[in-house]
Amino acid sequence: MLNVGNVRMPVCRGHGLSRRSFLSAGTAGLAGLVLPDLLKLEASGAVKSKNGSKIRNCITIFLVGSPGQLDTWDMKPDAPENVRGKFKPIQTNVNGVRICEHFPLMARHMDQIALIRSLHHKTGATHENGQRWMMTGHDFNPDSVKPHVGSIISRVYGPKGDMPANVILPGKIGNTGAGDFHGQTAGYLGSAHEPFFLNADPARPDFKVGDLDVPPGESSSRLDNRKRLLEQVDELQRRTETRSTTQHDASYERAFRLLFSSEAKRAFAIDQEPEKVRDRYGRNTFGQSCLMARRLIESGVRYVTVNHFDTVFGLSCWDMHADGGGLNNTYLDYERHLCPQFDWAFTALIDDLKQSGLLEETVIAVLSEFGRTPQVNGRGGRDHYPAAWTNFLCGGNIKGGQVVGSTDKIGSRPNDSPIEPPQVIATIFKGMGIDLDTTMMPGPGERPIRLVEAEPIRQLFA
Amino acid sequence: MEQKFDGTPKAELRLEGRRVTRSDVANDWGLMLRWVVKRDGKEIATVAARADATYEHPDKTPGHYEIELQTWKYVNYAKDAKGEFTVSKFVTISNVVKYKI
Repeated sequence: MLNVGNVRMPVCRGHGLSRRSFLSAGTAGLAGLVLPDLLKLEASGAVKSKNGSKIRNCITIFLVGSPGQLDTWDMKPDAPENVRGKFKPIQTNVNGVRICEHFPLMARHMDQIALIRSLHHKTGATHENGQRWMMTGHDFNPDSVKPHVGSIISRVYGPKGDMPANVILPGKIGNTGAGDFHGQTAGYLGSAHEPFFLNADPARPDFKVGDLDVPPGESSSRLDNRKRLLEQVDELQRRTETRSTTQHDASYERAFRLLFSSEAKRAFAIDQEPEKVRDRYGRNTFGQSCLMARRLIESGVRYVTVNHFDTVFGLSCWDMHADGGGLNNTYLDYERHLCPQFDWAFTALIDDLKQSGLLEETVIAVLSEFGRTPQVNGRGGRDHYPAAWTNFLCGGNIKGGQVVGSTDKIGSRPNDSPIEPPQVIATIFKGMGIDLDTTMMPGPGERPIRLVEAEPIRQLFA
Repeated sequence: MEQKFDGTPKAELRLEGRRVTRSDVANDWGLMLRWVVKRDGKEIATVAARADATYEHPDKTPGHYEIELQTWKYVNYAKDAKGEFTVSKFVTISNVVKYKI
């Protein structure tokens, strides 16, 4: 059987996809299977929604700016001083695996984490290139903007209940230097599968999700009336319906559902968490976003992305150029702010999900754009370097306590098992329980395509 | 988005012999935590305090010792020409415990 979204298509024994089922699949794609269609099909029993809901969830933590591999998870203590940097490695709870001294809690969780030390890409060293690779699995093509991984999940599996399938916290990535395409849109999948951006800081005492508040001067019943009026207008429009108007409908429907959903209101009520739990994640924008990610997964969101920072300019972030100007992050920012902040929140998330039994149902992927130069620059920083870096995964059916690949003596290129971004995306999908050989989605022009053109890293699965 | 650090962190220290134990940090900002050790009023050591809640300073040089817990307070990332932060700084978030050798 072949899955196009949640629709199962018969395949000829020994000959792959039958012509009849391929045409059917194409028709299913052409029909769009946007959210309302999917719901109708589910309601009629034509789609096995239970099948779709069996896939696991994913929380991606995206380290905007990108930590240096030599200062974090691929240390080279025997390298020359201007390569090894200022920090020292510590032993983790996995024999032979050492990481930076400023991740002492992560070191105690290493048996649950799989490090990928041979990650690299071959395009330009801009933040945006790395963001697009790691969030879509593709190089940039302005004529066919590729969808965010969470939008693919939204398209293929749809939402669970009232909650959106794909949420990005606390807000979208803004200016990182070279353009507006950061890989955090639905791309050609259309507006029905755009991520839901929180656009609010859950660390603020006055935190509210703007989209979930009835606007001042409006009552719920008045909004209900407006929705009914909108539905009547939509009914007229459907006589000349196109795919884009259908998607527009789905966006409205999603917004209204969210606005009136008690489930959504409950999920976003982070102030209902015990104080000790909020402390354990860290009373800061990133920590509380990680906590919010856990709440959203519990409430039915399938894919949550936490952006650790939304820019690289004028604040403490991973982009350690030490340039003395607008990009003046240094080892001190790593030591006092960034590493401890990440270590505290990331391990809280692992512990919390594990305690509630959700870690096996949730892949956690910690991703970044590239590595940083093996040699410390003249100002004491490191610059962009896409030829080698380390990211990591845990949870779901990922086998922790192991390292994929290695780099040479100065962390400048993969030594063995070179891994490219699409393989990481394929691994996330497989970690979520998706069979990439039988699951497809409508690509540009609605032709069924694989979710990503790469194979998962087999070593990471038991 | 401006980075928000909410509340005022606070922890309680307890001393048993030379061994100091901290409580969990209430309103923990999640940034660097460190023990600051002073002897006869002069700072002699700073030690990472995030991973473990207890610490015993190994130095047995005679003198009056004081230990307190500090956290990093991020305001902004501005630094001077030497690379030191100009506004962000470490702040004390605990009582001070004292012993004499």
